Amino acid sequence: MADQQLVKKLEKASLDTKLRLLDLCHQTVIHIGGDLSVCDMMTAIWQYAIHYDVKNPRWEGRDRFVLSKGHAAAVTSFSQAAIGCYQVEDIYKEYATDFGRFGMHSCNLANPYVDVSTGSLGHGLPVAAGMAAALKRKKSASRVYCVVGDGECGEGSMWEAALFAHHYKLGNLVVFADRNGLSFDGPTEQYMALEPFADKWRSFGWNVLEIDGHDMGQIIDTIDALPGVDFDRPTIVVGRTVKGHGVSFMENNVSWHAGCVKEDDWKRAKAELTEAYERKWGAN
Amino acid sequence: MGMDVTLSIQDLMSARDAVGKCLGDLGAKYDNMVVITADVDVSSRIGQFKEKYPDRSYNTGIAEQSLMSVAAGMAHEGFKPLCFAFATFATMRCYEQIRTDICYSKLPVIIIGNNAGYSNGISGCTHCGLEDSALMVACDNMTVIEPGDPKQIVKVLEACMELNAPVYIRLGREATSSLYPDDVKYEIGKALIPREGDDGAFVCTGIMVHFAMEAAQRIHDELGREIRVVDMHTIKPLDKEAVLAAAKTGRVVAAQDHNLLGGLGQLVGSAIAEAGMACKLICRGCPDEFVPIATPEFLYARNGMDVNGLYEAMKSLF
Ligand SMILES: Cc1ncc(C[n+]2csc(CCOP(=O)(O)OP(=O)(O)O)c2C)c(N)n1
Repeated sequence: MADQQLVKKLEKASLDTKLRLLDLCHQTVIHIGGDLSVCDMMTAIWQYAIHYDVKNPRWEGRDRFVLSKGHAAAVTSFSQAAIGCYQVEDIYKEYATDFGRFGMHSCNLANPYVDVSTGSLGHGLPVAAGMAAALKRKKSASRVYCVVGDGECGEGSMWEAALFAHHYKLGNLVVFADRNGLSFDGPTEQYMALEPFADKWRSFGWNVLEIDGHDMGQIIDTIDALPGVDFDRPTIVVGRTVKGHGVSFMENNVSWHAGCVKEDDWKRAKAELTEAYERKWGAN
Repeated sequence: MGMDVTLSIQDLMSARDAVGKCLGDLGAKYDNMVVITADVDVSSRIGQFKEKYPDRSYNTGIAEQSLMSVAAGMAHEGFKPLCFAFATFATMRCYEQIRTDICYSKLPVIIIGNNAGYSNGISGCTHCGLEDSALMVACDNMTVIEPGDPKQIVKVLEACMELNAPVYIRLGREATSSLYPDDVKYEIGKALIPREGDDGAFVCTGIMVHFAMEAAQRIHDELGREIRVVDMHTIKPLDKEAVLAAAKTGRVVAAQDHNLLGGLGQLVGSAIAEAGMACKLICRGCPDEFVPIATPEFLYARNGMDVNGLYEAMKSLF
């Protein structure tokens, strides 16, 4: 069982990132729905799991991170800012500006804290698998963390990579799937059914861990129990999540895949998130 | 035969809105028409077609390769698929599917790609269709169209349905004004001339036609020269006659919101050279350089593709 103080700390960190996402979303268009659904897992990856040196983003011993659902760039940037890669203010200032470091999608030409540029779905996982294979060759102790969307798993390249990662026994590859049940057009089960989602990965030979992607205790326990890099199978953590999580009018609402939130809604959204945290942990 | 859709200049809407509006009518006319998207229904505005013809609407999920091969399969069985995706994903992820499954058999599949050129620059490199025109032009049997006027798209779609061959329609940045009267005649492969002139010519596609119109007006106002504007809405087959007529003015500036390499300028240049004509030529488009994140305005200005850039280019030929 995860230490409650740690759970509280990471839930607070996740709340901070969610509030910042809303501030940015009040300023410009971001992919807020899929940012909020993955925020709890993203917080745990960047503020708990990853071995990283913010002073040296090229450090050979770092864990790699690939954002396969590249449109969740904002939540990634704020999570990185939380560990000191940038100032939070930099993100507000530079987001979607000419040659800015931050935008709708993660870009490694603009931003040294991005290993792989993404935004076209179905690329991140295969690239992550290639990195994992290379790290394995180098006998590295580093992991490759990769965050994928569920809708993204419509791309054939995801399943080609699933075959590869299993075949080459890439135990150092850890995928977090944001199973929020929605893609761009609507519910995945209505548009292109993915269930039984976890079983598909199992049948490809992966180590599949199913969790509530908003339960920080479960996320921490899962990270704590991840197999070592020399394990003989890749791991996928299927996090059941809610798109737009924590904001009543955004939850499961496909029109909040991306958008810009207006004054009243912005205040309401932040209040809802803050209240939910305070109900659980008290105000401070 | 006119469509039931009239778009007044006042209620001019973006090209994709116009697409949405006319698809429903096309569906009524062609009962073998099907629409297939890859999880971008919302962005493609196929809503009206979907409401009227839910059983003729398919969505492959986020799977562009599947999209194109499925379209080929349906076309083999007598249907006319219209496929919609972002320009990058509609042409690059599934290039071989388009080339081998669709073009090789000359199947009547219409592919519409939006976000062409720098139009979605703030979404970064993955979302900028800078190579789509070159790729599609290189496919045998493929017709490539980039309308210069949002209203035109309705006529383009009508014409494409009659073509019975593969077509790629690229939609980039959307103009907010219209160039032609409602009854303008539209023919695939026949350039339109929204502005006459014999002192020089802009040969352009898409949003560049609008920029060229403004640049030509400025040249008229400031230099007293008359510059023709050629709306080369069909990139392949290229209207060589219109190109050579433009070359006769002695000064051509060709512009497309697309990579210079493989873009409209090179097609225009080789047509002129092959005809053995001498003509000053400047090509404007996206340089051989990946762009991380930037606004279209910034990128157009930086690469001399905005009104001012086109003006300066033409002026330099005098
Ligand atoms: C290859 C490709 N096709 C289409 C798109 C357009 N697109 C961006 S996000 C998105 C939906 C993504 O759904 P999912 O992976 O479930 O992400 P989430 O719902 O978590 O945001 C689509 C279709 C894209 N970015 N890349």
